[in-house]
Parts: sequence; structure tokens; C-alpha cells
Amino acid sequence: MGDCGLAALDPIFYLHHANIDRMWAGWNQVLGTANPADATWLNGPGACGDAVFVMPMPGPSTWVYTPQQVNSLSQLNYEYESYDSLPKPELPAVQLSERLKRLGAAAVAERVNAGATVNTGGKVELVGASQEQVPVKGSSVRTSVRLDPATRSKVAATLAAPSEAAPPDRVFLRLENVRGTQNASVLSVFIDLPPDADPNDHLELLAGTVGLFGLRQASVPDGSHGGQGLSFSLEITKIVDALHLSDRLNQDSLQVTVVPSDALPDRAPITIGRISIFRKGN
Amino acid sequence: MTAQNRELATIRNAVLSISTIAWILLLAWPGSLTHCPVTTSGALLWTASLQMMLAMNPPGLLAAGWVLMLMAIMAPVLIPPIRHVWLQSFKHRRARSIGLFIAGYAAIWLAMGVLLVGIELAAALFAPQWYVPVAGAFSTVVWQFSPMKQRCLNRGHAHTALAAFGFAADRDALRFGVTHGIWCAGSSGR
Repeated sequence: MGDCGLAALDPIFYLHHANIDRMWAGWNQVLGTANPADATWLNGPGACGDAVFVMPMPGPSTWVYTPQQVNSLSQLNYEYESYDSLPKPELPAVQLSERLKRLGAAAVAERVNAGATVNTGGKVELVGASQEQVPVKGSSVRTSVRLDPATRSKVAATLAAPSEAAPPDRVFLRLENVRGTQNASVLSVFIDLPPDADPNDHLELLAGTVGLFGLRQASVPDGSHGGQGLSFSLEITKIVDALHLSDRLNQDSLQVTVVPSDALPDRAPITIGRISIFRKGN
Repeated sequence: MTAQNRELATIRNAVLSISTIAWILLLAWPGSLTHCPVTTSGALLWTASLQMMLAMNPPGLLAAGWVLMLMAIMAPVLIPPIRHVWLQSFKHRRARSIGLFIAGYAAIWLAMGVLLVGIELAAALFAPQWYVPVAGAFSTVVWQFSPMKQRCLNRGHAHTALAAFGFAADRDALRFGVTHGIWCAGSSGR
């Protein structure tokens, strides 16, 4: 299941994808979230000269289709009994209001709750980055992500005095150009985990977990993406808020610990080209 | 459109504007290599012919024509890597890093220009017969369908991580321009 070229031969592949389909339908129907409507999405990669989507059909025939033909369950001849088991995240305005309360801006939180318009911006800017590539070997690796003082201060200022015009920044950690030959690994990423601490005792510092499906193919230098590997974004806003509230955001660097699900042998390490931190805001 | 998309659209529009201006200049002043071989016989035949050729095609004009052609044709394909450098750099370093990326990329293409215009001049000087351009066209077709061309195209899609701080950031932006230029030149079928 870890290798793109072989995954579809495993019977669990169809179970897994059927579950993704169910979660997607729930995302559309329970949360009322719309799929993208731009032409490149609706017409699929075939319209750009790339590979087309092909479904095997009973007998020798195949069905070549585009995303716009399977955009909702109403176009297909099946439905799901229930979406009760799916998580129901809070609406963005409620999430922002809760966050503003945690940051001590109760008055702004109340106005957001009452429907005040918030200028969420959306500019993305680099805050810090590891200077060297990070090899992941053994049972864990700890590395330092150096922060640019001016940009870090900009983030801190939005957390210290948020308003509707300048709401608190959201912060993301990126694992860029992850390369290797071990498809089946899963990496857990922690922020500011004390050096000798057991990661399982500090799940509040867990930025997220990434599966490295397709890592081997993405790392082949002559592959269709030039061997640039895989990249992942993890939202670390809650962790950064906690650092800010305990006066620990004002430092030159953040420590990032990467823990593979199984210890990696020295002969087959995974490398992370760069670990970076971005702010998203005004 | 988000603020992020607006910023990315600004980069695209700036690059496309530069390309459009270059196209207008090229269409207004189309240039081509003019040559009139010296027909008298003697030991000084080729040097006299070269002098005439350089008089008819000043090197400065040839270089300017090559740069304009590069800006017209190659600028649009630089939109994705320029966006990559822009996103990978601190805000205060973005202009500098994009400048270094373009410098590295242009250095490769200017070297290619010296090589290709040199070959063109030499062909016009020593073998102005019809089979030289035919041989050139044939080798271009062979290259277009070769695995090497596909390899260059694939490598050109790689957008690797760039260092963010100090000298290493400058070095990586320049190096990204040079390597991108090499793969781009390789995949252009020249």
C-alpha cells in the first residue's frame, strides 16, 4: 500500500478509497463545503495533456472520465446511509472566537461571535527555516529552525493585540522536499519537545503526522517531478499560541523533533530538504 | 481571490509584460544574419569574409537580439520558479533572491548564445550550402524525441528547497538559476 505503483493490487486499497469517498461526501453534505469550480479542476489533468482518469469496468471495457462527471453523489447511483461517525469541526468564526478568548482578547471575541467582519488577509510569508537538510535516522531526530527576528516579531504583535482589522496570524510548519526510499514510513513532528522527553507524553506539542505514500517515486531524479520528493504543511497555530502565552515565542529558533513510526536504518535514511515556518495573515 | 493569489498574479503579470515588450521590439526590428561570401580566391579568403560578415552583423547587435529573444520566449516559463524563490525567501530578501536566480539563469543562456550564434556564423562562413541548416534541423528533431530531452524536462520541474539566511541564501538562489537554466536549455531542443 505504500508504493504508488503497487498499491492498487492490495484489496485494502479499495476499502481505503471508498472511505475517502465517504469522508469527502460528508465534507460536502454535513459541512456544506463546495468543491472547486475552476476549469482546470473540473476537466482534470487530461485537459492539460497529462494522464487521464480511467476506471476498469466489468468485461474488457474501461470508462475514461473527468472530475466534473463525478462531482457529487447526485451524479452517481449510490448514497451513504449516515455521516454520523465523521467529526464535525466548529465553524471558522467560532474557532476564531475561541482562539481570541485564549489570547486574552475577550472583547474582540464577542464582536466576532456577534458577526463582526474580520479581515483574515491571506498573505503567506516565511518566518524561519532550517539552514541545512535534515537526515532522519534511527528513532528520532531533533533540529533547530532559525527564526527571522523581524518576521517573528510581526507574528507576536498580531497575537499580543489582535483586532478585527488585524486578527492573529495562523502559523504553518512545512516539511519541504522529503526524499527517501522507504514508502511505508510515517513521521510525527513535535515543536519544542524537551530533549529527553517521551513524545507520547507531550501530544500537546504534536504539530501533526504525515504518511510518506509515494516517497520512492517522488525521489527518483529522472521521475516526472525531477526527484523533488514530497512536501507537507502542518498547522501549528495552537502550539505557537501556547508558546506566546508562556513567553517562549521570543527566541532565535524553534526546536523541531521528527519521530518515524519505526526506527529507520542508517542505510535507508529519509532526508528533509528544509523545515520551514510560515505565517498567514495580513 | 486571496491576498496570496493576488501577489502571485502580480508576479505573473510583471513577467508577461516584460515578455510582451520584448516581442513587440522583436517584431518591430526583426533581425537575421546577413552574409555575402567573398568570392575571390586566395589565402586571405576567410579572414576577409569574416571581416565583411562582422561589419554586416555587429556583435553588439547580435547580442542584443539574442537577449531580446530570450526575454520574449523564456520569460513566461520562468513564472513558476520565480514564484518558488519568492515563496521560499524572507520578504526583505525576495527581490535580491529573484535577481540572483535570473542572473544564474541568464548566464547559462548567454553562454548558449555565444555557442549557437558562433556555430551559425561559422556555418555561414565556411559552409553556406543548404545541407548545413538541414543537418541542424535533423539533429533538433532527433534531440526532441530523445530520452535525454525528457530527462532535462523532468529535472527542470524540480523546485528544491533554498537556504533562507545569509550567504547560503544567495548561493542557493544563484545555483537554482544556473541548474534551472541548464535543464531548460537541454529541454529546449537546441
